[in-house]
Amino acid sequence: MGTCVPDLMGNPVDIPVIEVVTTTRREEARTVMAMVSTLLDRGVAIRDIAIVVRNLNEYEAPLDHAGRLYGITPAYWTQLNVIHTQPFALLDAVCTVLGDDEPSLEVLCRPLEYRWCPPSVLTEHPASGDAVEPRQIAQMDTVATDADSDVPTDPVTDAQSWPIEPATLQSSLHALPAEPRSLEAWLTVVEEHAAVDTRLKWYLEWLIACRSMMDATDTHTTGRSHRLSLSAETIATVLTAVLDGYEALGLPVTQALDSAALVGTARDARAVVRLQSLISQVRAKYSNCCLDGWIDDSWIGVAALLRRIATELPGRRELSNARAIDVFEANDLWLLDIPYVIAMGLLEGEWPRQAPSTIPVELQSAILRGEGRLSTLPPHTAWSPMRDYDQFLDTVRAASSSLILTRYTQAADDDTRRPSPLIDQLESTAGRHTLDGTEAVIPDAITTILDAEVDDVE
Amino acid sequence: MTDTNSSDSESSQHARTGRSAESDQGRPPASAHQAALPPNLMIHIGSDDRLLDIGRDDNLGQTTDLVIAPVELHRRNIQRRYREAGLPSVGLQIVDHTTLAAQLLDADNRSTVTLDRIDRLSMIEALVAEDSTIRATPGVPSDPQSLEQMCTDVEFCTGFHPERLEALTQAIPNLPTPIDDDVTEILNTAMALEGALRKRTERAVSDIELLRRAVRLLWVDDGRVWQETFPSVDRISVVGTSNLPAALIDLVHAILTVVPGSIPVHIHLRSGSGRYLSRRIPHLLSIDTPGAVVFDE
Repeated sequence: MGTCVPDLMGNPVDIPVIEVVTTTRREEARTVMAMVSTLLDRGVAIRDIAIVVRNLNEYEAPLDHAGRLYGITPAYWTQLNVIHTQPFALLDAVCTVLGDDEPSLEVLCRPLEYRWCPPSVLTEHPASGDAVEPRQIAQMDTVATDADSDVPTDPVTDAQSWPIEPATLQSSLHALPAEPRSLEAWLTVVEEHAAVDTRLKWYLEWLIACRSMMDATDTHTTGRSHRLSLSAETIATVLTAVLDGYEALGLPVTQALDSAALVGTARDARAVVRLQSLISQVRAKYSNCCLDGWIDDSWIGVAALLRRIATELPGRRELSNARAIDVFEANDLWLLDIPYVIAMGLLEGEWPRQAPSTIPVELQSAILRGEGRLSTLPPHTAWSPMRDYDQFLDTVRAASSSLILTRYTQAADDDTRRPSPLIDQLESTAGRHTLDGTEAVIPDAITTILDAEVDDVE
Repeated sequence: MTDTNSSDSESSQHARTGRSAESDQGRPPASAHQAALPPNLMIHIGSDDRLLDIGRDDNLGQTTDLVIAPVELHRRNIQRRYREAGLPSVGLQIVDHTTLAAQLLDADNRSTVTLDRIDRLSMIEALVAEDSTIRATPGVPSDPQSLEQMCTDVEFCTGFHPERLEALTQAIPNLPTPIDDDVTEILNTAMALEGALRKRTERAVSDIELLRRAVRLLWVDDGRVWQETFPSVDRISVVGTSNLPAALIDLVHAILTVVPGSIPVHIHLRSGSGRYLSRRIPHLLSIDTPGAVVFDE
């Protein structure tokens, strides 16, 4: 392909390299946590250890599980920027509408573009005129509004008809005036326009009900000072209802539209899980942030808080937990200098792994070769193993005391998993070791190797 | 820090020729075409620790460095290493390419409002719903996510630049059947989608288009806005990247060409892909009007 593969053999590393082989991925994760625990017991500072994986998706769950067994919390330094996901955009858009006294058509309809769905837990429709309780908002569902309830195929009442499909939404948008107005005025406009999809009416009623929750809590002020007009409970209830609706009805749309590898679905699903914990953080922090004057007591303030928490990457600086171990994706370790680096999943087909692309392989090859004027086109190094070599070499380079490479031999489907070719190419002047076993024995074996290393140096 | 790979030894002898800010005088060019590199462009391979030298060199605080690090966590890593090494980071600005583009456009009072990927997906979903011809061909994926990815992939290697698209089109007959037809369809669909997105909104249709807008601005105003935005920057580094997408290399191209004073530009490539990419850079720079696109402005 005209690419060059770096010659690792030519440059051995000068720290001990230990290859650890376990049977399954879960056992690999448990063994890694056992090793971390042993290193900590030997007095190594937790900031001097890092776990590296090629792809976090496959390792997050096993590492969480293994971490619980050993009382160690993994702190994932992840590139999943939850802000750039559809469910986050939905929550943000809902807060923006609720915080706007007179939303424009664009602002009003953005949550629908992001697949707003009626909260899916179904019981009863809130009685009009009464103050609406948070619980009722969560339960407002695909219940028929008025006389329509006996029509079996009413699009408003049928969960199958949510979210509103883009083409329908677009034609409704074309039929409506763009000028800002209050939610109540929008409701009137929507009712007057026959061409507008009836589901918009349901959506507006939901928004008005959410707004009335704010008013309701406001009128029931207690003797407590600094009573906020928007309670943390209300916020959490509304946002959770929206997120639940997305999970139940929006996520399947992502899946239906997704490519075969379901990359988008996995990303959306991860974002939903992240956002659930984000909502509980908002619930915990909202009151204090308002009282401290960091944010306004309003839905706009909620949006600001969501954004602020979402952009805080988890990691050492933000965690007070002394037993939190940094877990990086391989690309993110670049430039760091960490004594003990544990790289997981050194398997054939996983690391290196060529990225899927919509560009046919034949064209990828031609651009990589770059003959003639094709040389003016930048090649993507993920079309070859080069990008993964970059990440492996920077992982190796980051380790300053010892490098532990782990892998497993048996996949969930009982297929044998072979080692990554990267392992064999790595030579060390300070010794190479292969340890085959379980979490019960490997940490001790590693201790022995590291002790011998210390003796040598002394 | 351990030197662990073959590229390191090479890295201290930057694969470049011409005038140099650092000392490897007298070393012959690694290959003939590298003579075509602009004299103020320095390429380093696998020598990222050199970044820390920026701080060490600059104990007097005399140099102002602009470091372009496209990966978010890399920007944190640079700061962490500076902290750990106790180096001053006073004269150090670390930005991603989108922030850099926004700063430049802002300085010229231009809009920096951009569609994010979610907006793009929603819009593509709507476009596909309205116009079924967009995905009526067999060589093209049918779901919005893949269509968006396809646009991004075509954009990565062409930047929708007329010369690069022309080069790609001319190469199609050399591809085996039916790949040749597939590629034609991929190109047509990607350009139709990107064009439709651009017609639908005043906003930049992606972060990458925002960057191209900044590149075009630099190019037409001959570096004036650069001087207004970064008057004191006297060294620019691009770091941490395994790739040089069209928009990024076009940014480098524009900076090298129009920024007055021949400010040195350092590209730090990584150990695995560096040697390969370094050989490609002169070719990537050999186009006219970086940042130009085939669409009507």
